[in-house]
Amino acid sequence: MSNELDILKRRLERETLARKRAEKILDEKSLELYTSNQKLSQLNKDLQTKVQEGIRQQFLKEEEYKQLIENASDIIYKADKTGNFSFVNKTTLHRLGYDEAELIGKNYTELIPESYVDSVRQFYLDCIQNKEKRSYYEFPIRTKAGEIIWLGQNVQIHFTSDEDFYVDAVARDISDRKAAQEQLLKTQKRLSTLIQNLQSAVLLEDENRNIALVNKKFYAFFNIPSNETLLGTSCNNTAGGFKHHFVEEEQFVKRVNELIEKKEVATDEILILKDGRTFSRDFIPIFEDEKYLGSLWQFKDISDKKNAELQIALSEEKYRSIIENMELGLLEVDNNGLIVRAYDTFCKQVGYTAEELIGKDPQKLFLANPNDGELIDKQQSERFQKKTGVYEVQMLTKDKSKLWVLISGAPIINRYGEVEGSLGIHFDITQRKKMEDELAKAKEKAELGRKAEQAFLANMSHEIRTPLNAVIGMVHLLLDTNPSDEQLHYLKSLQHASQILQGLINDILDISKIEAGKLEYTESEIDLHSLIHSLQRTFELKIESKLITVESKVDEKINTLVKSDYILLNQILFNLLGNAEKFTEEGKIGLAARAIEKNHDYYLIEFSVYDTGIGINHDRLTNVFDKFTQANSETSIKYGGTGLGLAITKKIVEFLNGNIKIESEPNKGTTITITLKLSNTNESLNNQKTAISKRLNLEGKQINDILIAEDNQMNINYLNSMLSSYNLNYEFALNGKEAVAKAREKAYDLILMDFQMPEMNGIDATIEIRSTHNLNTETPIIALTAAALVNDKEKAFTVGMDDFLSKPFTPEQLLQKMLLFGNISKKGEETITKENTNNKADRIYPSELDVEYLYDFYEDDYSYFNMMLELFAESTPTEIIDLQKAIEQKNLLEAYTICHRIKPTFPMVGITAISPLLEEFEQNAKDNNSNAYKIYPKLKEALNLWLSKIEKIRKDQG
Amino acid sequence: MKGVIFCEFLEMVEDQHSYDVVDAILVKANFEHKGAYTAIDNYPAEEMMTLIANLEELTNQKPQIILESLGHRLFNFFRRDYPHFFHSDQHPFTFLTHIESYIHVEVKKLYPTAELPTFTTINQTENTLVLKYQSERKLYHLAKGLIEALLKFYKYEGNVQLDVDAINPEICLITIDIL
Repeated sequence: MSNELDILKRRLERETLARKRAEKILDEKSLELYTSNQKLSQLNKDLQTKVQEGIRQQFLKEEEYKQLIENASDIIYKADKTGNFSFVNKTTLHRLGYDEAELIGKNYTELIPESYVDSVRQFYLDCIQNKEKRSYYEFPIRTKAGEIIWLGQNVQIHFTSDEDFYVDAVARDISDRKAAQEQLLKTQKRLSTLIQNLQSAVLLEDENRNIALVNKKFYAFFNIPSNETLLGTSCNNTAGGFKHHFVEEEQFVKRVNELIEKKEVATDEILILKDGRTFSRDFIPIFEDEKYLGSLWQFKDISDKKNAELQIALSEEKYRSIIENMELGLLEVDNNGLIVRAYDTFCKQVGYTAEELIGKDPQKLFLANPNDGELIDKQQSERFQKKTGVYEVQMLTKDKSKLWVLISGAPIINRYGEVEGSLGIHFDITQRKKMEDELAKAKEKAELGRKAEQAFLANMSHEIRTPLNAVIGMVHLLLDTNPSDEQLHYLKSLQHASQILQGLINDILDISKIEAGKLEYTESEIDLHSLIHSLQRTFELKIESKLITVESKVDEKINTLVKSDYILLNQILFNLLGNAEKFTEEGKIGLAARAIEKNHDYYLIEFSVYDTGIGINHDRLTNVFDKFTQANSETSIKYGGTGLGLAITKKIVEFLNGNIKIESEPNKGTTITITLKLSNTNESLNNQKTAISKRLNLEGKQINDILIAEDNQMNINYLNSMLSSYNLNYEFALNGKEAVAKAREKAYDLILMDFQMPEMNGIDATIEIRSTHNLNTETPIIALTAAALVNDKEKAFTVGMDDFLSKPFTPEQLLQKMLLFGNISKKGEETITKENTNNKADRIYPSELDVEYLYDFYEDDYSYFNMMLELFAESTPTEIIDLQKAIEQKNLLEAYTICHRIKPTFPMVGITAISPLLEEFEQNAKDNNSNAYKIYPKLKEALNLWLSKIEKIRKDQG
Repeated sequence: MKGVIFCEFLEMVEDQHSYDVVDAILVKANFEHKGAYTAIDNYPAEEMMTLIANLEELTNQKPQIILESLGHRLFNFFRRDYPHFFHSDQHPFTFLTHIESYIHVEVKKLYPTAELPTFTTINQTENTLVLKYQSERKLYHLAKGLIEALLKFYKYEGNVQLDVDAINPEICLITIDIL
């Protein structure tokens, strides 16, 4: 029980304790609550004070605002719902020029220019309708003074109920901005008009790739219907949309994206359209202070330009291909001479590629002959003077083969007129050069051949004429031996045949000389009267046997000396007269000279040679001047001749720039007319008779003074020794010039004239003496000639020589010739005449020598032989020493020359046995054949042997 | 720990057993305040552990069973004294997932010093809700009792299963399956 009680006690105690504890807590909470209340009421009190202060502050601010509004620079006003002004600030009054009384109650629309009223009213009606509390609008108003002011107006609408409201407005004068804006608009409009009317298509995209501007051309260029608009659409797909216009579609899109990506200016990009047009595209990104604002695309239609360029390119290509096909190698060099450009053909010519050539110096690269450097430099300097030039050089190609080129160089001149370099056109002339070389060689060969031919002819003339002359001479002698009729007939035939042969040889020699162009023009003064007269005389003498008269006539107008080539003129007339005489059996032949024209400078003279001979058929007349042509074949049988006569004549006439023509009637005769223009010397003719007629009468005259024109020392020696035994004064002239000079100074009784001499030959000297003023115009002249080349004898006569003596001659022969022109006295003896010269010596020739030969040559003129022997002894030993020297020096040419010189002297002294050995040696030496050295010892032995024999003979003869 | 919980606990022990048992565990505990608990004061939580241990010793009742019973009794106390927290047409999961954001917020307003466990929603399907309970008091059995009472109140049948975290005993996953 006590336990139960204890528990109860404890329970009660716990509940009491718990209640007290709870009450205590509640007391504490009450106090806490009370304190909080106290705090709260204090807070409330503070709050009230703050509100009152706030209201006061607010009031002050409103005052400030009011002040602000009054003094603001903006127009500020209030209006009621009808738009009537209820408040305006000072600025409003000031700007609009009204006073307050005038404005308050006035409707705002009254201030707005009529044309703007509706739009402004509508704007604010819309605002009210849509309950838009705040708005901004710009419109003009008119001040009291009538000035228009643009306002930018902020309006706040205060809705006091659904129906009721009033308006606060702040407006600013934006006239200046408006004006600027208008100006800007105008400019923009102008620009846009400009862009619209540009000939190129323009598209402007903004920074977001939206199209901001497209002009009309753009629509036109891309065939976009004008009712479609691109403005505002995005560019992102435009490229794809346009690509179908272009040939390279994907390339177009790719490039557009690339440009947009990079944003770098790209101009003049060429786009080919499928329809054949060509566009040029510019892309210009627009930046302002590094901020990207968009891009401008411009397309220009350059199809025409492109086509023109294409045409130019085609034509350039055409000319280029022409040049290329012409195988002309073009090379351009700069002013330093370095290669700037090398064209295909040139590269092919030299075997280099263009790349290998650029920048190189052609002189170093190509020049085959270093000596040509100077030529190239000279050409180069001429280019600088803007001169062109053509020259040939040999070049080296890459493979070191040689190439001949003809280069035509021209300066390259830029548009400022300065020389920029030069262009060389190279034409390969290797083939031509080769041909030229071959031609030159062929020519040389031909020349050699011709020389050989001439040598042959010269030889032939000598070889044939000597025996022929002998034949002719013998025939003459035989005719005097009282032959029987039969013998006479044979002799006449023989004489005729040999004369034909002689004429033939002369003609052939003449024509070959003419054809070789060897004819030389030697001018001298000529008295035509004298010339023609002497020709007449010559033919009169020549044709004594025929019943023909020879006429001559010279126009009296020809009263001065003329100038021409005497020999040629003489030959022409001589040939023609010869022809006339040949074909004329009876009647006459004649020669006439007529002056067709005469003035101070020249005569135009017509020479006519006529005959009454057989004439020529008309159909033959045209080709009588051709070579080897005679009127008909019978002619040649009957009259002989080569048919060269007229051909030779014509050629000489043409050489003298004259004309020749022929007229003929068969069986009546022929007239050949020659027209020549001859210079007039204006020197009057000497009133002299013809030389020949004077000289004919010389017999009985004493010969004292002789002039001898002779260049050969051996001949001089020979003549010297021969003439010294006579009572003669003789002088030597060593050439024709000297002879002429001496003839001017002294009158001689006789002149001996060698044909071939240096400086001036005997023919020319004779002409000078005969036709110029001197003391010997009539002195007899005897020609001395070694070579009977051409018709030396004829020449001698035609130029006025009086006689002719062929070398070698014996003293007796010379004496006989001289005696034709006068008497000569031997020293201490009686005068020798033609009649008393035949004093023969009965001496015999030494048996060691070729006696037979000596008899043939000297007959019994033993003194002449002796003289020759002396000469031989004087000159030959030194020659033999020289020959020995030449052999020692291995100089076969010199040995040959010496041998050739001395060879003829051996037979002259009767040493004929040595001739074959000399001949053999000479031939080998001439051919530069070493056999000559093998032969020489034998020759030397023979020579020494003969020299000692000659010495012995001379001693024997004392 | 709020005094009201001690009051409810002691009333529960008296109801289940008798005031003798109440007196016995209090005497044994020998607290300075002699067990004079008042609902509006606060007491150390350890005192509750001592009382439950004393009760187990005296009656062989398992502490978790004692706590689950206390949960049931507390739920009824809450429902009776704070009916505005419980709407009749509410789903128990809605209530449970809003403990942190709603109930505990309100509790803190009344008792700023209250030490409350945290409930986090780990997973939720139509019939299953997994909550993570975390508290240094480790009173998840109390929570289980409260949840069971809640299901019963909303007329749902279901199981509430506890899985204590092996490493951190302050954490326990509570899986609620509705049948």
